Amino acid sequence: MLINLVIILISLAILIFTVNSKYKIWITMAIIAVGSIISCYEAVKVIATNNTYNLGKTNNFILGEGYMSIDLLSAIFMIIVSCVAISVAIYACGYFKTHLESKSKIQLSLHCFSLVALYFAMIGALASQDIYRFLICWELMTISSFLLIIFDAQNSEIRKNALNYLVLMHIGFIALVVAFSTIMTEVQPATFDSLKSYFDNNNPIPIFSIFLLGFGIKAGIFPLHIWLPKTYSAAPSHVSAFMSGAMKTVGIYGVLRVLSYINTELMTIGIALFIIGIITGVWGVLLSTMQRDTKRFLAYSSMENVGIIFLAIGVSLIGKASGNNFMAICAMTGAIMQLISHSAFKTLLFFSVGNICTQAKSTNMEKLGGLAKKMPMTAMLTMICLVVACGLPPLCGFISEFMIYYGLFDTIAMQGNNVIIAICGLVAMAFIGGVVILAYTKFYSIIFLGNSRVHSHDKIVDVGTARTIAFTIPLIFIVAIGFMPATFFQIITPISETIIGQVAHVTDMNSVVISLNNVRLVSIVMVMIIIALYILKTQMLKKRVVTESPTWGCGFTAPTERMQYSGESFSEGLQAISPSISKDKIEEDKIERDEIFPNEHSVKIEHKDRIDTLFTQWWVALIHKINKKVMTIKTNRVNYYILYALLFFVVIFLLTIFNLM
Amino acid sequence: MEQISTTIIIIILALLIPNTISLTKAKLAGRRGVRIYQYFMDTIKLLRKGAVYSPTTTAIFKIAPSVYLGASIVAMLMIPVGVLHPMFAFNGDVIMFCYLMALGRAAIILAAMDTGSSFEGMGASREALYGALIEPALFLTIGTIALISGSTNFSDMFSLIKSDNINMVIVMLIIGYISIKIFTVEMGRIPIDDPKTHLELTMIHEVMVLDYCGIDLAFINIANWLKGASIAMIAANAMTTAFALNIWLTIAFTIFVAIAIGVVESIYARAKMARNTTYILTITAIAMLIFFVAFILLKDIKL
Repeated sequence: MLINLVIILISLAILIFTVNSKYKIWITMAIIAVGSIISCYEAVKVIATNNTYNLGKTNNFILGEGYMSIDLLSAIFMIIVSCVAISVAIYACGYFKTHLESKSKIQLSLHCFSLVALYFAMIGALASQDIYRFLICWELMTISSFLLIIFDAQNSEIRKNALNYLVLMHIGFIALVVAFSTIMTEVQPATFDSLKSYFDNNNPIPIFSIFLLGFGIKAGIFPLHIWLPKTYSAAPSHVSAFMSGAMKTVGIYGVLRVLSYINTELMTIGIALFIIGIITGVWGVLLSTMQRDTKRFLAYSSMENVGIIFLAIGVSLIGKASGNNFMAICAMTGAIMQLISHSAFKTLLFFSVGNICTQAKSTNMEKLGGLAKKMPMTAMLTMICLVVACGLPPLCGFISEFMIYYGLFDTIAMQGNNVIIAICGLVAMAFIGGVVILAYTKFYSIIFLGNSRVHSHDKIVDVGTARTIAFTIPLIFIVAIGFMPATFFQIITPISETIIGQVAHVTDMNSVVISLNNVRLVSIVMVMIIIALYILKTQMLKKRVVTESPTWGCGFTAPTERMQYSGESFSEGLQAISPSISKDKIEEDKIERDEIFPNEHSVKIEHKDRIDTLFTQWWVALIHKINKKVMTIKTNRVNYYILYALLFFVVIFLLTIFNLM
Repeated sequence: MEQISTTIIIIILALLIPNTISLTKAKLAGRRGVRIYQYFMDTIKLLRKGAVYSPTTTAIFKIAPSVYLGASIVAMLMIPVGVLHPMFAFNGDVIMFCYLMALGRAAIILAAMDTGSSFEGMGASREALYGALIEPALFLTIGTIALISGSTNFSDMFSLIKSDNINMVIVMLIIGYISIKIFTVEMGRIPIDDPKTHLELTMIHEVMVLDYCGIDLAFINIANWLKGASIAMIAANAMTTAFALNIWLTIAFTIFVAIAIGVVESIYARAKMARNTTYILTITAIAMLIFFVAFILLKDIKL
């Protein structure tokens, strides 16, 4: 019944191609809204009753024959994806107004249709119990997101990046097909549940590594992250938000789904994920501080968050393997909370970058500045995201990090088996947390604070209401988790229990709830003290002289906006001590000796991801080499081709004779 | 009652620490030094003044001092004095303490960048970097105390440590030493930063608040003192547990921390700015080392 309803919805999406440009996005929004309300309703029902909701056997022309169901794990991801999707659709409404003239009708239709397709593909992937259904949805996700990225395909750079994305995603897809088909040769039927019997009887490490390659490429873990900055900077902002907030989480869903069936060799897998998490996190955060392009910055920041999530998943598996149940549950709950908060704040940050992009016509931080006065609403919302992204109290970013830290600290205090792992995780989290503050204060202050670095920004105004409304749903999550941590902890714990396959002790859980309630108390007290202090100050200042005077310039009376601290100089200190991870290129035309009055000179500084060039260099070269070798058989002469055909038959003949086929 | 007395003791110590440092420095330099309540009076004077704001600044500049002070007050309310329990005590409050300090730091960095001044940008950049690098050391130190005490709660942490083992006494003293180092970094004292410097280019903390005056500056000063007192109190508590947990001993150790910093500031020059990162990473390395030493000692491995 429900599936048929969804099918009708998807069929309605065809309408997008028929109506006027103006209404295309409205139809898209309506379809996604109805879809998300249905799936959120079902998902909430699953979480509330703790029962798997069986959609039964599907038998229709799109999905074919297969089983679909929503269990706890897919329910939470469904809620995340649906909330992100509806915000993205609302945002796209506002965003499209500026593009109605410049794009052709078919471009707009294709884009809108792909939005719908991507959303339902993700929901389908989450609800599939059946592997073929899952793989179809997975592939549909890749193709529709590819179509979304090439919205601005006039630019050759964007086309190139989009193709790069498509190729890499298919490498991941092949890995998944290989992994699933290996399993299917041993166990039947082709559902996720049969993974359990496979992993129980075989060593899970080789297959899990292939799965990790397939899912990790979507999630963007360390050596597979190279597509992130390129794709996010190529795509329109709402698409980047969709991909970062929703599609990435589906990648992590895949890893969690597979992990929930593995019960042996957990220590090795846990340590591997833990190390991958640390490298991903540190790499992401260090490179994010060096970025100048806002979207590339967000891409690396999202890599850092994935790092923290993988670190927590690793810690949780190690906890499970060594019988440290409490650490396992805390870390897994922290990982899921981090996932939720990442989806929420990263969606919002891409929205605000989108606002900046359309209003100030630039994504280069060094060409922005002082936007807080011109776009106050965007600035305020970005500020909230900054607090979440840095994991600062009182919002949800802090709660998720608190959970992970809590598990680690508790392990240290209990002097359990994993003290060394816990302290390594602690140091890594602390370092990442410290550098994130540097990265985000740079991001915020270079864009929004100070004076505008370019004169053409004088007439900038804030964006319309549609785009501001889009911020609300993720904001609700951010504030709700921040101020009701214990409630969300109790909601999410059963989900982590199903992933880990162990039930937490009631006393342990109660101690966490008490702590979280105290965290909330302290947060509320802090917010009240801050508000009280601010009101006190303004009241005191009312009766006194408040004057305006230019910023202190050490006696210099003609400061210009070009004398402000730039983003490059803000992160210079960190770059000086971490030279090995980025490939720096400085191009400058030197001042000649005879130039008494120097002319205008330019300096171009680039920080490239070291792994990026390393990765593309060798395998592109290898493909070229193989290609060249193979192409020698192409001679353009008919007699050669006849010879090839003859040889083919001879080979087949010989193989049959020796019974090799 | 107990909680209120804890708070009052920390507030008094917060006022005493900057005075003690400057008095120590004055005595060692052969000067008479300021009155014991001079800093307090200075702040009272600032609180009576108006304000001057730059037209470049936004609301962030005006809110940041309140955020910094609010975060510091709440962080202070989590710190015990010897056996006296603090206002807020719960498992995992150590994490919240560290993050509240980070919140205050982020607020001041943003406020500094809000003025559009290159001097303040310089200070903000340095503060962000040093703050990021000192964070692991802070977590390691607290982690070591948690390991030894078996608690993740500031008020239990120090009271649960038994000082019957001479090895643990040494470990706790070294933790106290590292905490003093963390104090110098977080508060921008010598050798990281010289608070008495008069050149904007070489400052860290002072340059970030160049554009503040009046009530805002008073808020920032008070927040600085509270933050300093909280960290000094961790150091003092750690050193006290090495002997016997006693309120008077803790207070005496806090004063000792202040005097020690005063002495160091009198006999050392500040380090070159480029050397600071090495200095901070060394602190982290020592903290890491002491964690493993404590771990090995607790495992009772006979070497």
